[in-house]
Amino acid sequence: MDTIKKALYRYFVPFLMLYASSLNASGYDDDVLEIFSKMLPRFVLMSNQKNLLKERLEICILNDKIDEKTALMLMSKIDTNYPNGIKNYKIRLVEGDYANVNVCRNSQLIFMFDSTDENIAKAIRYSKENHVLSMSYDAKYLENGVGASLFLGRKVVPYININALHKNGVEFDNLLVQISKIYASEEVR
Amino acid sequence: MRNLSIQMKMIIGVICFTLLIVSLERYQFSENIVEQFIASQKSKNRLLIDTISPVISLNASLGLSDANKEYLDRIVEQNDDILSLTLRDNDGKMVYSYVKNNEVHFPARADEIHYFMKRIVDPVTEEYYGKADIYFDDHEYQAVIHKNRVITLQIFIVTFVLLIGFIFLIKREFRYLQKLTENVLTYDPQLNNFRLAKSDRKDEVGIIHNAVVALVEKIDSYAKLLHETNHSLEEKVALRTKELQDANRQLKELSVTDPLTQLSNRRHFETHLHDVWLLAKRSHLEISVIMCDIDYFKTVNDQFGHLMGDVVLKEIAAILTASLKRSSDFVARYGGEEFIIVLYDTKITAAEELCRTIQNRLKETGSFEYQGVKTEPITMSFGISNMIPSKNNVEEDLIKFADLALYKAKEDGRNRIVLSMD
Repeated sequence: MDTIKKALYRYFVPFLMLYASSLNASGYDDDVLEIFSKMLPRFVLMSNQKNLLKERLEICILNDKIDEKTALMLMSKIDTNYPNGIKNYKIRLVEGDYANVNVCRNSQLIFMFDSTDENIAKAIRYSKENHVLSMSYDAKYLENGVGASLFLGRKVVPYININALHKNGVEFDNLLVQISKIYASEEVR
Repeated sequence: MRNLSIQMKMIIGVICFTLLIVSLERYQFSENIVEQFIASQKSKNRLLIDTISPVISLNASLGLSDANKEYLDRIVEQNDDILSLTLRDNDGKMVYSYVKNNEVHFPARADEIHYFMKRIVDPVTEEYYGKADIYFDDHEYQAVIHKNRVITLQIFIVTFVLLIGFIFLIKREFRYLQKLTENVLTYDPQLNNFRLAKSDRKDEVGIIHNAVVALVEKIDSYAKLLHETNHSLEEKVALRTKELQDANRQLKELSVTDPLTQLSNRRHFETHLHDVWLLAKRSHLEISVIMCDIDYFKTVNDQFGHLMGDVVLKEIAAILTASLKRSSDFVARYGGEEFIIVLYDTKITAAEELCRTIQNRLKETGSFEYQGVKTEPITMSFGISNMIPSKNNVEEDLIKFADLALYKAKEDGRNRIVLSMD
């Protein structure tokens, strides 16, 4: 019996810890993901992207392979929050890695999980070329030209890169701008 | 009301009119201010709630509860007049609550000035999210009302002070007129006691004052003229009266005087005899009456003419008058060439003595002359009666007995004195 216990402590517990850490390897916060899940469809409807909508809106989630489960978790949360879509629109969610940005060709919003600067730049370039709203989990990518993210300070508020949005040809509803924190680039600062 | 003075009527009228106008103006102005304030307050409150509700709803829809709380905290911090702000979700669960000072007496009036309830709707989906209740204090409203009342009070005080000033002014002006009135009422043109001089004032009071002064001056002038005219008239009247009196006296004298002899006539004799008779009757004194007649007077007229006769009559009248000794003795022309003498309180012997005196004077005179022509010596016959008046006799008896005695003297050959024995 002691041998079994020793074996459990020696092999199984480290395995569990390793597995758990692998689930949360990127350090994504569940509450933040929850906020993003509520935010993404609304950001589409509160931007001029809604003009592209017919019967449904499409959100494209780009991630590295390692963040695929988190992406799926986010998609699940969106489905949970908007089981019947939003307003009169069905919500279609597309998930892909940065190597296959083209999956976002019909999307009105591209959401980016953390990745290399190259991948991020690639996605940003794609969104810019197609005039699609881009958002990232991490606000640091605003510096790279992402249109919007989330400011995680004393309070949590949308974080908007007006210049980037302008370059992408995307405009937000005034109300959204009003409640958001406006990102100022390093150059401006 | 009719007995009220114009001064009082003016004062009452002005006070009522002023108070009415000021009250109406203040009432209207206050209503406008309050209405405008309420409209402004409603607009302000509505603007506030319309501004915050989309933000609240968007934050709520995005799940940004902390952002909502901070936003609402900033709102209540920036709006000092918010007493209470509560936010409830669709299930009635309190999401946010703020109560100022923890002790709030909510205003009773739940209107848009003091209370607002706003349904919170998702700006994207337009679904009902919950509701926000906001209570506003009414300090500003009360301050406006209070300030308005203070201003109203100040306006009324200023109006009251101005009215008091106006009343004093009116009373002073009327005192001036009253003084003028008193002077006019006590003014007597004869005393010339109007003491007010012309005024330098150019207003209506000055005009009235100067008009009255000018009127008084004219009255003075006319009074003097009237006085002089009256004086002249009085002199004329006095002169006329004197002339009239003289004329009357002359007329009276003429009525009682014989124009030829200037002796009393028969009417005057009768009046005199009546008076003397009554006097003697009361005094129990005797009266003697001498009736005398010029002897052969018809012959004188016939022989020398009536002008000579008139001369004789006048000369004899003069002798008779000159023969009387007392002022009470009375002589009159009785008619034709007959004369009569009344002697009060005189015995018959004294009367006889008088007759002799007259006879002697006639003798001394001798004849009478007219234009160089002389008459024969003239004589007279005398009949004397004497009587003490009583209830048993009358005054006509004296004449009758004197006449009878004269008749006897004539009968006995003229130039005689006959005493009546009855």
